[in-house]
Amino acid sequence: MKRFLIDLLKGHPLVNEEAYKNWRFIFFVLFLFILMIYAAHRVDQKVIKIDGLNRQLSALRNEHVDNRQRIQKARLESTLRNQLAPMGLQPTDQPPLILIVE
Amino acid sequence: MKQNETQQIMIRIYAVAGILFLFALGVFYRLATVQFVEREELEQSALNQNRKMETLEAKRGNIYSVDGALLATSVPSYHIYFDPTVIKEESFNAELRGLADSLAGLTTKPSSYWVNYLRKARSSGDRYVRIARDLDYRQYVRLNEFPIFEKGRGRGGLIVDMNIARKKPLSPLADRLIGYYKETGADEIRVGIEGAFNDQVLEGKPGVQEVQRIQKGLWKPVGLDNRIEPEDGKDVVTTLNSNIQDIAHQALNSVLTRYKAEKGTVIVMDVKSGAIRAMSNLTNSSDGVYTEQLNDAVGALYEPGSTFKLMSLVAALEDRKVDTSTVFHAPYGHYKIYDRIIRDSRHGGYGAISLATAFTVSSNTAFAEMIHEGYKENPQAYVNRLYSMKLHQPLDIPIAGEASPKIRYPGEKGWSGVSLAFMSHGYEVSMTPLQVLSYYNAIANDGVYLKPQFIEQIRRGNQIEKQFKPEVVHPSIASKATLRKVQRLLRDVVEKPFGTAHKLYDPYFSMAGKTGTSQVGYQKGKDEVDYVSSFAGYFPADDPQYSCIVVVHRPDKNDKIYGADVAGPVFKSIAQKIYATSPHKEVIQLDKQFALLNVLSPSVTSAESKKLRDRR
Repeated sequence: MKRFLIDLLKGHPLVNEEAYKNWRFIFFVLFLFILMIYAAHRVDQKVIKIDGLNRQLSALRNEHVDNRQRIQKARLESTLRNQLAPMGLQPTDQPPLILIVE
Repeated sequence: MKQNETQQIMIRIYAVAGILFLFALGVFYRLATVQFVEREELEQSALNQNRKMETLEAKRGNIYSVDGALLATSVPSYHIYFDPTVIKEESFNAELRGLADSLAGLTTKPSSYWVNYLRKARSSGDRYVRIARDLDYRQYVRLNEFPIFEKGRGRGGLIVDMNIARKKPLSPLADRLIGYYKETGADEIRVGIEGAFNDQVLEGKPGVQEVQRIQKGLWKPVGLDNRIEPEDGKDVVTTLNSNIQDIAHQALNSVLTRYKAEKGTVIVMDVKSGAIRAMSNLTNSSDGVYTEQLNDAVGALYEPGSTFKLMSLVAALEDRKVDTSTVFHAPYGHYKIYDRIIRDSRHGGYGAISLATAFTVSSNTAFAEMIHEGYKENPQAYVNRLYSMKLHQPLDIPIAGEASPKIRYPGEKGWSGVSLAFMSHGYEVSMTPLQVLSYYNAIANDGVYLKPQFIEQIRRGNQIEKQFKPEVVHPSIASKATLRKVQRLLRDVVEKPFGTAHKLYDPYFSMAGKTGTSQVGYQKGKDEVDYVSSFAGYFPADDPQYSCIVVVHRPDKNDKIYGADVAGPVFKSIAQKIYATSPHKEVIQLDKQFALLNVLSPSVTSAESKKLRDRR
């Protein structure tokens, strides 16, 4: 046990004849660490991106409602009547007639 | 000497080693305390700083009209603040005037106000200066292009606080009927459809999610097990028709403005289903503009006046007290009962007239005599008849605040010997406009008394979750014979030259209804009397599609006050427009000659169609 600890402190596992195997494992562990850190950063970036997209979605939704409101109001008879009055057009007092020819 | 030096060095080394050992012991002690004694507390504290349970708000459902118009939805609204300290002195001075001018264009305050306001804010070092609240998207986009603000938060000091707000794209149309829902602490305010269908329909269910703090003040979700998905609210499709609502709103607004009235209500109902197609309530604001303030159609009782003669007529016909040919004669247009005199609106009265004519000309004396003489021995029979037609019951609609109709029973407080006579023509009884209209709708619907329907469907996306069907309050309020008679008389009110609503007559389009002009404030004295003008009816008279009531409160006494003059035109305007926008089909036989002419000259088609139209 004492020998093992002394060897470990002196760095023998890294330089002895079988060190190649240990280095492989150490690199593998390092790779996993880097992968883990990268994944965590990617998640953070995605959250930031999602937040941005949510804001964009909210703005687009708002724009959609705004445009829909304008269309709905433009379609109302009261709006059309006011806008078309200067052209001499006014609402009909007769219904549209669908003629079915037999 | 050398040995002494060595000893001293060793002593110092041991002393330093001892100190280091003690320090190491201290560190180990602290580590052990942190690890085993304070562990839970510290873990919780760390979690609180970097993790939390976040509420995931459910998206509130939309409200639509039956023709697909969006009536209410949730959209972000923007509160704008400004940090004037981030911008350089010279840029601030150079662009301040431009920013103030732009803000003056967006708000009601002048440019000079903004210059002073922003200068003062900068010199005081305030980093959170309020600029505007509740901006809509269009205003927000505009504001982003203003000088200074266009530089954004970092360089321009623009701070945007976004909130979700409820928006009514067709406001002010049906504002009060669409309503709102508000929670204020333990209390809640429920108005209109938003209030009635909030729970389990519009509001949805919020979810929760555990989140962890990351950079830029954002939080990321952690742990799939720590999430409960929010359930978005369902959409409500109302029975309102946006075009009919617009027509009703504009027609009412125009009449209220013309006659300087206090307030008015109009309701349009689909005869066969009881679906409310339009409901407008306008009240004069202090600035003379008419706005939706209270849903009087549902919540305000009024004495219906002569529109109640229909109910009295049906009761008397059903109880066989009279027939339409029964003659009444009130000398000089006066009918005296105890110490009270009931008068006809025409000076000198109408002479001897049949009940049919009395209804058409709206004779108060004939109706007072008919009901008083017919029921004075047994007044309960008259009230029981009204009760049997469910006139004393509220309609039990989902909209909060419906007022219960008041129809006194003989013996109740306030009942007197003249009650029958006054009730006959709509006094000493109180109903809401919606209750009166529902009765007229039942007459148009051949006696089937329907509950007013406000909601067509509850939907989730395109999937229908609940389809609402007409609800029958009373399958038949009167016999077929009585219904035929009163339907004819309601038509006569408009069609007969002496009918009170003959002004509304249109040769192309049939209408039926009853005028009403009741007095209010008569208890305070003659000078305090004001009027409520109303018209209730349906159209087309020969195949009723829609019923409609118009009630106008306190039109200018110095101008016209009668139902036919004030409320009638609103009814006619709505009826005509609905008629004019509903396509009519006509089948024509194409003979060889016409076909030949048509080929030779296509203009013959339009000429022929005009001829056909004129013939109808």
